[in-house]
Amino acid sequence: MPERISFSRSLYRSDAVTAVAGVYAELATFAVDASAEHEVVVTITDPHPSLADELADAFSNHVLFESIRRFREEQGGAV
Amino acid sequence: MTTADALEDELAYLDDGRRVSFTVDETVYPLDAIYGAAYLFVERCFVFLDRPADQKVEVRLKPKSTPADGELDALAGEFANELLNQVLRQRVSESTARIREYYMARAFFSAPAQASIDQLLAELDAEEMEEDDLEISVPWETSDAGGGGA
Repeated sequence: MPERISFSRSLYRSDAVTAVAGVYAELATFAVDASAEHEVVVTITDPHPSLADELADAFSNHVLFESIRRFREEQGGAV
Repeated sequence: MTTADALEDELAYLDDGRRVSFTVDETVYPLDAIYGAAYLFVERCFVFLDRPADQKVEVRLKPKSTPADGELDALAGEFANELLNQVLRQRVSESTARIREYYMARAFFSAPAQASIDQLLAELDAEEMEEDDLEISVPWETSDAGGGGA
């Protein structure tokens, strides 16, 4: 069953979502929809059977980490 | 009232046995502080942020393994403490920014004018070319010194 995650644009960076989806591409199919104004929606299908339980959580965690890293880098500060 | 109850009143967190969530007011805890706390927690648990309303951030924390009794409460409490810590760091940083700038400026501009690197190099060259006034002989200049043993 596909899992849908909605990342608010005011909290997450769209480029971070896309970058992490690319990194996780071998573990499942990630469809990134960045057409909405306030959110980026990711639909995860066909997850690797051994990771199905926590793939969405791990993916979201990684997107948050990457978003914070990029925001801070953009501000010129350390993470 | 236990500490957990007091915390629950202050933070109004929801615990479904698998994860804990609470809403943070951005006018009290700026987004930078929320990011700072979240950044420290991503290694310990799964962190997800959502925007339920303007100026509100919902924080969801889910331990990476099945939580023990009281673990979710503790996690929420630790996150709240870290939020306060981050806000305090930010305020101290802001309030001491002018002092830091002052010391930096003083270090760079108040010192007596120093020779430039070119001037220093020129001085070194000049010193090398000067003769040694004391005429202290060194072995590689005294081929005719005759022995030199003790």
